[in-house]
Amino acid sequence: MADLETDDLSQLSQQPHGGGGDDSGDVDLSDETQDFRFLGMFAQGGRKTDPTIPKRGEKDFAPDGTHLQSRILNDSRSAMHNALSVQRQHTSRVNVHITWRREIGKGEVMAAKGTHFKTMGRADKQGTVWLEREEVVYLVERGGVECWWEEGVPMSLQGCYAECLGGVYAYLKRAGYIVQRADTFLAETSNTDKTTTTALTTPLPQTYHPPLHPPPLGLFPTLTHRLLYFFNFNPPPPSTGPVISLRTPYRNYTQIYTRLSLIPSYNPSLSTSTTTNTTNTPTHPFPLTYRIYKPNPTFKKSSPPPPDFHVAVIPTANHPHIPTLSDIESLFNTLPEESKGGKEWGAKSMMQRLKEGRKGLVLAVVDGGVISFVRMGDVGFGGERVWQATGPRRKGGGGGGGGGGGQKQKGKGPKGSGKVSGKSGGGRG
Amino acid sequence: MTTNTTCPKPSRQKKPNYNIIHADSLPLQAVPLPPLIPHNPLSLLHIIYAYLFPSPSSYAQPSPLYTATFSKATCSVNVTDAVSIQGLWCRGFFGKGSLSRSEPTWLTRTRRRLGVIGKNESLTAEELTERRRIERREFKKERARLEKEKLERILAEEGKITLDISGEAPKADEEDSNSTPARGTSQEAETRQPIITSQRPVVDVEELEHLQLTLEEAFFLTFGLGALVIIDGSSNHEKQLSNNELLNLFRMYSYTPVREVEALRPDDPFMVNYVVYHHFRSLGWVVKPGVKFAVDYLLYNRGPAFTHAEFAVIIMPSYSHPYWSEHQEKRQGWHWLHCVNRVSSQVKKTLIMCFVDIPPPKAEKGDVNIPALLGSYKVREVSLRRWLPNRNRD
Repeated sequence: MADLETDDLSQLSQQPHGGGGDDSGDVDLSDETQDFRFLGMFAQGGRKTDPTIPKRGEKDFAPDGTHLQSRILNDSRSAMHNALSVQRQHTSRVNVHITWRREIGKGEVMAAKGTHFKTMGRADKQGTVWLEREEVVYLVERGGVECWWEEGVPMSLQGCYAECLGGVYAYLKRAGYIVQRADTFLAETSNTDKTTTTALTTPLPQTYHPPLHPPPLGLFPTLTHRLLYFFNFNPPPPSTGPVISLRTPYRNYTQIYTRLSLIPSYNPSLSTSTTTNTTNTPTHPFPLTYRIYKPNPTFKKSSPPPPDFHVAVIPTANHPHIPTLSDIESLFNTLPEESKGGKEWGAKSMMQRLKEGRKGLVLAVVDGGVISFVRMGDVGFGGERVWQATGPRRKGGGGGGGGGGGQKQKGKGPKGSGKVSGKSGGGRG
Repeated sequence: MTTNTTCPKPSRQKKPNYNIIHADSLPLQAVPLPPLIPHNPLSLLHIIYAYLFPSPSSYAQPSPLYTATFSKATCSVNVTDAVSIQGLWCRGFFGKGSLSRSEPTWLTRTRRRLGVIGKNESLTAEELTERRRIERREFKKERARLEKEKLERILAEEGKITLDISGEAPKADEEDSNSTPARGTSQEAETRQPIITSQRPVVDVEELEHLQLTLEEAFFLTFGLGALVIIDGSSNHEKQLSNNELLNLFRMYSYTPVREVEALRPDDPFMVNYVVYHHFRSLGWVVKPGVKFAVDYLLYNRGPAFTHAEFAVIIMPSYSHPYWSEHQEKRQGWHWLHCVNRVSSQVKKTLIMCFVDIPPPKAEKGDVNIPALLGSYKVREVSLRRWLPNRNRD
């Protein structure tokens, strides 16, 4: 029998070896120490034909006293030092100058050259490309551009940091994503802590579905069910309970669960795309900040595809508390439905639907420069009938099908399906 | 280092068939109507008869109803008779054994310890876990030994130490001090076991364990299913508590110190918890307390015998109704959320923030309409997951 604590812990120890591919929250790669020996092939100046980035290996722990280990460590260190000591240079062909325009808080690109501008910057009607402050600091940091003050003085790296800061941006950029400001964040709102409690009184009623309706009656047992409902099932539950009437036969578990359903619950499937006006969102305490895209060579910044993720940056200094339901609700309302990523909603397994939800949103919580990402999914348990979805229920049955014979077969039948769903639900074996 | 070193896979104990034991997901039975056979018109009569005159054996609730006692001292509902315990655990996984981790197994374990039943007879969940732990410990010890051997071989090749060729005996002494007591106890256990089993005692063990229901479970079983009768344990004459009495009692006892009926609020801990409990139970989930995982509830698909809990639920009362505009919400900080989320992702559960919209208080005299009261709450879930840039880029 599966128990609560130990089994789950046991999975932990197996986790790094088992190929739990899509489980994002388990092993933090940034915790590993790095082996820099691979840098040798960049640092020696020689142009390797295929500089692939190597896979990271297992952790090496404390020194074990072998020459082998210390040699590996030394090689790694010297490779890193060699790589750092190489003079970095770029040709005049891709040398880009930026002038920092202080009043508008943007960098004006003198002549946009190079691959960065495929995904960064935004051109105005005159054809001048403007960089947002986080884009400026990122490019200056990596040596891609030179930034100048308006007075014609080159800007130092420190000066650049002082003018522009964008931790989340640089982090996501370095991780390889294409990052763009969301429309709601374009007009930069400096007054982030303006607490505008908009009148979000009661949640949209049509997205909550009331207690379940009686199940759709099947083809054949229609008559019998009608009669049954006529006799027993129409009256609402008595005010003092029990909800499941005493001295009454129930014919299947669907009837029982349908009757038990009393509490209205939210169902994202009922909300038809409510992405109407995104104009009122900048006043919201948690605006969407960035749209990010997975690395994509065909990306065009003039006509970007639907983004892969939406990110809201939340500095804990301004928002010490987690968002309330109405905050989350209005954030979700500004999002389009997640259609990207291939699979149709119906094609996903129940567990996937319950974990990911119709819409997703990544919160980047910044606490003193430390960034942690949390994904929120717009899910609705009320839309899923677990009692029907999985598991052998000898007496479950449901409305359809050919009567009550062969109960043993019924018991065996769904066993396979139970196993399958168990596997797809997170790969825990 | 290879982790899949040759460790013979120990033969696992055969599990009982949980599909049969836990065939019902609630302590209610659903009896289908007799089948309609097209070429036999009499079968239609049979169906009609079964409608109009249902036999008592086809009623949903068990007969007699399960019984329990409410204990004010421990703030729990206790089930002592064996049939009720069996029924409530096997049909819906309600309650917890007072002397066990989850399923009431104290009797079996004690009987085995005293040698009344054999070493491998009807193993309980705790015992299976314990054995698995021992296996794992042995495996890790073996792996550590192999790694150590490899290290020594390298050191010997580099000429730093000289390897004892005859060295099995000294190696055992060298081993870490913390591994020796473990070996000692396992040896002890091996030597002790056969002695006890050889002299089986004649006396059997008396059951001292009872099943303990949480207040939400108890109320669901009485108000929701009508399968349980709860008796007031404080009075001498056994008085059955009505659903309205139970609701008030449980709401009062969800506060410490206990509150008077007049001081009850729509956001009582019991009301909020029960709304969430009933919501998930009515969708077919098996809901168990989640305090071990820093959350309010765990959701099992079909039950803990079949799968691990897939979801961990934290309950968040939400005050969106205008009535509460003056109300100061207790709001949690990011540290708390990250703690809970981190724990949940470490045990591979998806965290669900379950928002419960609290209605304004209603002045009602006399008995409350409980279904209507529950229907005035609204539930909305939001799933949470740690998101790592490196893992989502493809």
